[in-house]
Amino acid sequence: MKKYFIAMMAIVLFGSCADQLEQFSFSAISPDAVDIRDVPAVRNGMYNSVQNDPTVRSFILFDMLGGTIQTNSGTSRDLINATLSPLNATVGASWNGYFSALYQVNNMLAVAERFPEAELASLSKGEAHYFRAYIYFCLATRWGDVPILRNNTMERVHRDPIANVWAFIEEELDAAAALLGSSSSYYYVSRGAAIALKARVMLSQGKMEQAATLAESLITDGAYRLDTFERIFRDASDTETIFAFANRTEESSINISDLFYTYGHPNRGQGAYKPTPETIALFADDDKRKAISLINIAGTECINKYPSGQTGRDPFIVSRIAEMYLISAEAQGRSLGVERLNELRRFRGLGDIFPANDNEYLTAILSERKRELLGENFMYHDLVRTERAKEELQLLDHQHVLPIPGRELQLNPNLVPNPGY
Amino acid sequence: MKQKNKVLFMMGKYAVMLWLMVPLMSFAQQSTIIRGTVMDNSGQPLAGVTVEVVDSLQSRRFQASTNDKGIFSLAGLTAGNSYQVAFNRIGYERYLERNFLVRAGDNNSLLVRMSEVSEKVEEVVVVGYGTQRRALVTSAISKMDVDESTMRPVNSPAQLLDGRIAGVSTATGSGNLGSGERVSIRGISSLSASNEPLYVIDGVPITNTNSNLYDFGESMSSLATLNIADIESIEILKDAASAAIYGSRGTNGVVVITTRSGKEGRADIRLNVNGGMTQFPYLNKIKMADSELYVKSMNEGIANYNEQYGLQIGNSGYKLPISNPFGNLPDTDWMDVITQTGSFFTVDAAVSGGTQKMKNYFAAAYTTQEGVIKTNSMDKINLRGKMSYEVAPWLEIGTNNSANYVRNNQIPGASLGTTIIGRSIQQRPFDRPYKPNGDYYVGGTNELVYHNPMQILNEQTVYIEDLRYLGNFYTTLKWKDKLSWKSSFNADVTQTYDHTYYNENHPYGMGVGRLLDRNRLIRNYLFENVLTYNDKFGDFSLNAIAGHSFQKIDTRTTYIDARGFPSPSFVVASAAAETISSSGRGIYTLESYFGRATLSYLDRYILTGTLRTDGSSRFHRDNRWGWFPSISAGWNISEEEFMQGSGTDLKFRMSYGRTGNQDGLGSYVYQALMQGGYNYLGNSGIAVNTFGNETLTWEKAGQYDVGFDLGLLNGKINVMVDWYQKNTTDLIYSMPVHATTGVTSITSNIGSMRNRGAEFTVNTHFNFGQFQWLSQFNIATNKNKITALIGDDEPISIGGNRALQVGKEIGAYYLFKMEGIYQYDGEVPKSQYDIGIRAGDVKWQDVDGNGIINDNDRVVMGSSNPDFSGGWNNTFRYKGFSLDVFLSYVYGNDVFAQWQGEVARLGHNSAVMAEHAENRWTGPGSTNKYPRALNGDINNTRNSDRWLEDGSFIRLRTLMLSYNFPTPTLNKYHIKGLRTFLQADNLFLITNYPGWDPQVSNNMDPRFFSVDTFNVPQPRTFTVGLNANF
Repeated sequence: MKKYFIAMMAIVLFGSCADQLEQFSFSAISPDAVDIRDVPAVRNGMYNSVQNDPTVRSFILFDMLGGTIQTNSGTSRDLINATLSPLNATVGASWNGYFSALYQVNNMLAVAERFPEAELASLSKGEAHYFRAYIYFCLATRWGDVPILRNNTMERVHRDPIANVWAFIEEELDAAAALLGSSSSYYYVSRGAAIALKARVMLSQGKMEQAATLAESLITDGAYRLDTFERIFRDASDTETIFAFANRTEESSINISDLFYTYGHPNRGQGAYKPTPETIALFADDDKRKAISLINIAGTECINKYPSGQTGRDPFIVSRIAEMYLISAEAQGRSLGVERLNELRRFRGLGDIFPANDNEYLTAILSERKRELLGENFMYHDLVRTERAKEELQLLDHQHVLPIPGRELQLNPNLVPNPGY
Repeated sequence: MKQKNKVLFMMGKYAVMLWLMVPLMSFAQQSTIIRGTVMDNSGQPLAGVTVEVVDSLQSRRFQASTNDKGIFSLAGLTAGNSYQVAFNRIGYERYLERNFLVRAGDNNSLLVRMSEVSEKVEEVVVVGYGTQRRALVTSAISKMDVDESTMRPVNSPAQLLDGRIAGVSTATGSGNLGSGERVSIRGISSLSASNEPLYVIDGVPITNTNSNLYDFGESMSSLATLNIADIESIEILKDAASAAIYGSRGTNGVVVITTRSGKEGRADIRLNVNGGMTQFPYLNKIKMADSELYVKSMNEGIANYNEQYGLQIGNSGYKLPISNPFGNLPDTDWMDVITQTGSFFTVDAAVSGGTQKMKNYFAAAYTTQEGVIKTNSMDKINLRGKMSYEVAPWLEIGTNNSANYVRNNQIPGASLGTTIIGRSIQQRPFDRPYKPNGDYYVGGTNELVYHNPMQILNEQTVYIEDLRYLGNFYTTLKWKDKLSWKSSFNADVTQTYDHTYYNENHPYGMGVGRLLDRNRLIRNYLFENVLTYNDKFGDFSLNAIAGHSFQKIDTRTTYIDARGFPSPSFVVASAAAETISSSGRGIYTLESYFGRATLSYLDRYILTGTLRTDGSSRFHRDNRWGWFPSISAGWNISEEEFMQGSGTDLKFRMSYGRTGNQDGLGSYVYQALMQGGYNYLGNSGIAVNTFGNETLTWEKAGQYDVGFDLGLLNGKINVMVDWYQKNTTDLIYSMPVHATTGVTSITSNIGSMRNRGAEFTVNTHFNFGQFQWLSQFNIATNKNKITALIGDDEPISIGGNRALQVGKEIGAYYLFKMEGIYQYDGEVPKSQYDIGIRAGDVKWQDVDGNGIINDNDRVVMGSSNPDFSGGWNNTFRYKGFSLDVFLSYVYGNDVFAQWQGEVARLGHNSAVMAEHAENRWTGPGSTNKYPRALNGDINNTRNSDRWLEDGSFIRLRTLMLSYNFPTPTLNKYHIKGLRTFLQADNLFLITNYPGWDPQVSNNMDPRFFSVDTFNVPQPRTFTVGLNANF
């Protein structure tokens, strides 16, 4: 009995458990283990990352800084002053998020290069070039000079001059347009998306002719047509959208609705931001955009473009054809462009206008952009690129670009801070 | 000694046989019988006394033990002989009846009184994988006996330690039931890795993870499931020499909890009943402005804004003054709306007993509690069964099982959007929770600034249910008394269910109801084999162990997010319109080999060495194994001949050891991972979410300890003193990296830090006739210093208000420094004037002198670590009465009272503290401390030294009056002991801290510790109770 017992215990004791020390994740693989069949999954991962990583306020930052919205307790100017600080959480999260998304995009390109014969390899590459351009457009319009990273790197990088950044963006969009065709839905990147973004990029650089040509090519192409706000912003299939992030509830953390709706709305929201009185005053009663743009919740006007409330998510539109009308109108100048502007106004239920001079025309374009693109992340950059920001937003000189986050400056001494912060 | 061991062994072996032969022999030898009764000094019969007679003629040994009436009978003795009868019982002095002449017949009787061993019971200390006599302990181990006098009405054993042991400090997240706790032993040893000690309960290293699956605003203690009444003692292994036997998990010290067991020769029934009430303490300390003052300061803030920007009525951006919409109706006392007088009731019972061969202990406890905030309540049930059985002299088997259940109805903690105090005290004083028709005013609208706290509490159903099994099964093989082999299987299995239900009327209920339904199963299995060897070689004695253990912790989770319920009566996910679910699994394993040898010469010179090696699945194969040795030596000076008879006990100890740390890390932290779940449009996606770090390895700490134990006047005064230095190297740190890499941090081994400190404990024990005075005073100091970190010595900003900097402490603050108030506009630098800073605003120190106040102008200052802390307990006994006064104290720590920033915003549409409103700047010279009111201010409530407060305090931790009923009276009713008590906990607090409680924190991480964001303070508790023993 005793011997038997000891023998039994000895067997149990010396039973091997060394291989038990190798444990692997149940929900992940090693990046080295990616094979040709994983290309579609890496592609979806890229979409998800570019959609989610920049964090929610990045998608309305140009409204927060653009004077169209304010907090409950302060004016739009208070919001701008509070946001434009190297310590500001939104500024930091945006910077981190765009570079985190860029990492996945560069990784997608690397994987597509590794498996050129893979299904979707060429399409994925085209999409990756588009996303790289999109990310750099976001970076350049926020921080100005930014490091251009064609490959992922651990190095402490330097900032590249903005001219090089614009050139890189154009190059990326050309590469994307060459690889892309039409997409299965506007939740995927298409050749049209690349052209639309390039039109915007040209406008930002003041390359008016090219901007107008690109915008016109999409307007006249026939693939995209103006549609009603009821269809565009209530997730019905619309003809207007060129590219949007799907932002499915279960796949996204980008909850814009929560920031705009208050707890008085049936769908609830924390109501962090509301339109300024000036923004509300822009909407005439017969403007067909009004009901979808604004909603009065228990006495407070709220932005109504993102309807799903506190726990849902809504698509975020990157490009739609109405923006092309506005780009074309602006880029062609008053005499040639006013018809495109009036075409859009008529479609939205407003009458034609004929501004007397170029300055008034630009004012009209910008007002129209505020009405059309409220809550879609345009205003700050629009005012900065048209040099209206100082006057309209009372920006100080240094506030025309965002501060490089303090954390990043501390960790990478090669980055030069934007002056004034 | 050797002889005796042999005899005992023989005796054990043949005991059964002997008993069987007794009746037989009595006939054969015409032998006779001795009968008798054994009592204690009070005349109570004593069970389990071994009665022994050696018949040298027959060279035989006779043995019997007393039954529960104290009666024994010993047969087989030869009439006419004289014998020496020995009476032995643990806890009693050995009694000898010499030359007892046995007569023929059966009227030989003995009546024996045995007295309890009172003086100098050799204290036995639980060390890793065994026990040791205190005399042989050469490392720094402190022990707390948990009994009626040290018991407090707390949820977790960790809280019992508050102020009891030098070098051990505790804090809780809040006064909410089951709130998470922090126990710090000898300072802070780690950065990103866990800073909590390892908890070992009856030999099982338990898992100690947050009980919250859905973060409800504070961490919840997983130790709150345990039954405190079951605990017999808590040992703290403080230095590396004692903790190194736990190797890779010993750096933060080890808390060894031992539960009660059956005692040989006793049969006990224990019954404790207590109940009482709890209060929200010091409530009136924070005085808020009433409506009149609030409206006045608000409108001044609005007027200042309009004036500053030159705005007139009708201008765009002009702000309108406010008025009290409720006219002359009385203000709402928002704190009264949410607080209540809490109550609690506990009953626990245990039956225990034992013989030489079999010991058992069965206990059950039930606790029900209501907190000081409405709807906060907790129910707890604990069961325990413990048994050991010596099957044969060479074989013992045993088991120890406890089943625990707790249900905690939570309220939102301080870091949740519905933080309950923040959503009450910060409401404007004139607002109210209910409309005249009984509906809620809805928060976040013009009607009410923040979420309605009553809507938060009433429309949520939030609870955690923990089911926890903790137990082991073991077999011990023994060879003589020298060698034993214990093989055990241990399990700590916790099933946690976290139910967070917001019905359609809750602000987070989306108007349709939302359920966050989360389950987690943690299976922590440990298989362990330990060989123990004891021997004597002349004047040397050796005690050695060697062992192997394998531990596997397997965690499974299921999370469901369900939205859209037909009505609030539907509370399971299957009734929801929409569900999103996810599940997870992770495994972590640890394999270890360990050994310890203690060699002593006449108990005079003692040398102990330990060695452990651990292999952890958290590290890459090449860096997996860590080695953790220790050596310690002790000199019992009082055992030297020249000290004999001096009445003084003196021991000198010194030790060095290395421990490790790897807790608090992710299970796959070294691996680069391409994670699933990055889906798009319903198609599965993968993305790189961590770069991994194959070079990651153990964090190591080397600790020196020098100490001595001194007993004076035959144990009336005992002093324990220790000095130590602990150097942690290869600190595991989630190292921040520049975001252009694609990630913001990489877990790495970087940097080192040092903790240096001293501990002093003195116990006194004096009798003045009937009056007894016992006291224990302890004090400890620890100085933490970061000695190396990544790259340069610049402060690394972490969180919102902290920094890590070489030469500074972990827990140092990184804040703007106030230099006063600008009295005139002309004093304001232009760049600040441009963004709206004017006279009456706070002037911050402009460290870099560039006129702009930004990130670079913060200063590393203060620390959340105290200069010293400890406790002082005094017990006064007179006859049956006993008065315990226990004070705990902390000195020299800074608390960041972040809540003040929230209630100092004059001109903001939320409540303000009267102090700030009354003393506000109104013109040049009015004040240099309190800024003006300004609507839309962005300058004055920065994270700054304005909110950094001295957190020193002295707290009357407990005051207890108890009465032990006299034994003779009780004996008539067959009661062994009866005690009643009245206890008050947290009766007063002497502190300069302006908030309710400096000992709570919204973050338990030592880097971010001691931040008060309106955390619920520890309650004041009044208890009345009864302890009975049968």
